Amino acid sequence: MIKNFPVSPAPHLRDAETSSAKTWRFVFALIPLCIVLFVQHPLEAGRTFGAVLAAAFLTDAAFSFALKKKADFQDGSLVLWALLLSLLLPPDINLVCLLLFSSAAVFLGKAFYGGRMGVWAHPAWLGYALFILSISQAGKAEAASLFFWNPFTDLWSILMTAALFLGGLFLVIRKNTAWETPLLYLLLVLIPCILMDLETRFSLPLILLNAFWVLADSAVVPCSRRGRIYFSIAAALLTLVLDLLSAPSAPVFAVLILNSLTPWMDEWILPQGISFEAHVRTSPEAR
Amino acid sequence: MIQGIRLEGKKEATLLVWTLKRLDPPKKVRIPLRQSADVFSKARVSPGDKIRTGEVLADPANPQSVFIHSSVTGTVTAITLVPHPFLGAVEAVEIETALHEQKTVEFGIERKQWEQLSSEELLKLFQESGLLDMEPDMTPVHALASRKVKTLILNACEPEPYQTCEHALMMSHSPEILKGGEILRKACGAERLLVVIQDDKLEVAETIKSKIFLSKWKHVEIEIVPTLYPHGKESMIRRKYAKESASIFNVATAYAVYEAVVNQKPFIERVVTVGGECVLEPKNIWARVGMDFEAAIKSGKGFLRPPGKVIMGGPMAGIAQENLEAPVTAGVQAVLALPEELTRPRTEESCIRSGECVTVCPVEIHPAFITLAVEQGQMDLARDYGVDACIECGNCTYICPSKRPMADLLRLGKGQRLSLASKKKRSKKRDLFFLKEK
Repeated sequence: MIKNFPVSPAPHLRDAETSSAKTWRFVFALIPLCIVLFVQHPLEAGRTFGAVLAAAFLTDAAFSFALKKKADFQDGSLVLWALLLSLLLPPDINLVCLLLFSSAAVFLGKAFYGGRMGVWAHPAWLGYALFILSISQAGKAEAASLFFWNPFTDLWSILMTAALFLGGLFLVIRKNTAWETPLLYLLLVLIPCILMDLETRFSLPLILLNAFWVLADSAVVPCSRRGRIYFSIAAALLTLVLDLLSAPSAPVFAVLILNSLTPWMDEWILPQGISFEAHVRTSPEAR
Repeated sequence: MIQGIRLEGKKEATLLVWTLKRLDPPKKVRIPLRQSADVFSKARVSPGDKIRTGEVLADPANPQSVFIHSSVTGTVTAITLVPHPFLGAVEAVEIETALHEQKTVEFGIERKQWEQLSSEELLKLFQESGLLDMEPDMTPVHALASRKVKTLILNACEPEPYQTCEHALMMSHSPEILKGGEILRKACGAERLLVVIQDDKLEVAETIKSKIFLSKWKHVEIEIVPTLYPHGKESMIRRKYAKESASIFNVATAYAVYEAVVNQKPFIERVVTVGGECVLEPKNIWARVGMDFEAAIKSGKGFLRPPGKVIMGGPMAGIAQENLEAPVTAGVQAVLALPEELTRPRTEESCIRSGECVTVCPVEIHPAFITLAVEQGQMDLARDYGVDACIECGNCTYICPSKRPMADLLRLGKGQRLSLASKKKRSKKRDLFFLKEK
């Protein structure tokens, strides 16, 4: 009989799901859209994505080296952020600017803060916001984003929307994101737009990206399920308000504004259902 | 909303044959004299003494403790230290088994007029029979039953994977369990008997319902709870019925009570699940108290392949064993041999705020925030987030996609909170002492 087995505290079983697998699934869900874009604009898409990814990796590696930390590229988060940022930046942007905004996004969004839970704002959205704020012709820049998106004027636009929707559905089915969050966000943004026939400055793909990828990124939304539902409702309402105030890229800024409030939302929606009172009642002293 | 995890049951292997077999007595038993920090007994026998099955080995050291009986017939060879499944090394009586088993005169003979016994007589009988609640904390039954309550709860839930000892016992002995429950109800002075069963044991629930119907017991009820871990654990049931005046006993305890009161059998054996992927023939067995884990595993025809871990209890809250020398006690519900691929340590990553731990926490606290606070040494913050309410079910550790040691950090947080509290208490006492001196 074998003697001396390894000993460790309970629980002895672990779920097979890992955070890296979750992040890579977000990247995988963007592949249909990437295929459409690479077929439509192979050179621009390759250049933008390559440059953003290289800048993100270099920035993260430099800061990891400076802080004497081990850089973890395997978790897929840098690839995801780079992919999302490259989808929003115009493909005709100057290469130096492209590298600059990507590095700034990773620096400010991840490496610099690196605090309680890693990031304080979605780095891809932060990079795009910096780009919008740094140029004078914001409107022009927005029109240029998402590889010359034109709402349903051609087959490519319809294909892009369908690809994003398919990717989003995949994420919901694989439980990368709870179904309520994207559903609430999409309904609350799209229904007023359709019913009141609003002329919005944002595009449908941007709304889909927000609903399925950004609001599902656990790094920047509240921790609890209830908190995430409130966050998506608030993001939808803020998107409409900012758009009515003629702010450029309202969905991006709505998420970034709410990102900064996430710690307070977490504190405010702290779960304490049966715990404390019941504990007092059942503690040995009480008995 | 009920929060928990629907774990893969893995109970089929041990439920293929639910008839319980009694094994031949093991060659040697080592019966521990300590059940917990406060509950222990003093040996009445010495090396060389010949004893029979059911004979008293040790007397209670205090009113909270119980008499301990021999589970085999044989000769006492030593009073020695043995590795207890969860208490470290404890004193135990070692008995070498004789070839022919002899039982005490009254053993197995129906007690006359057992229905006429009063509550006080029953409590005394529980202590004399060495009855302990068959949960890992092994509280003496007479101590639990001495508290007068309105509801007596029989817990028939087994939320942990692999464990089926109580399922098999209920399939084989449900009338005895109900009668044991009735005896306990009488001892506690309770008005109502509630049997809590999980919804994966509906056939057991139906069997019990039919027995209740035939017995025309109107004070006995059945409650079906979802098969979600850790719902069904004693701590969760206690929380649920915290508003009611209730005592909770395991169904295996009710069976032992029936045997002690009706058949005059002291506590010498219990049903144990011998299971896991690494056991050749997983099954439920009647294991004698003091029989070592090696003998239990051998009853399942040994290992199919080398196990990654051997666990006493379930894989979520059980205790990993370093070797197979620990003896079976009242609190041992299962001996599991799990493969390396299921139990190997995973690479820890940093928290990504997935919130999975919050979603599955049965007591609705915030494990992510608490563990981060504990890591940073902010114990007051951990208390504000409710670390004291944690029941250490292990759900957060199981579900965490970053594979963080959440349960360990929560235990650490609770431990440090307790030590801080006791330090404060001590300093308060010291202050009072100095005030008196002055």
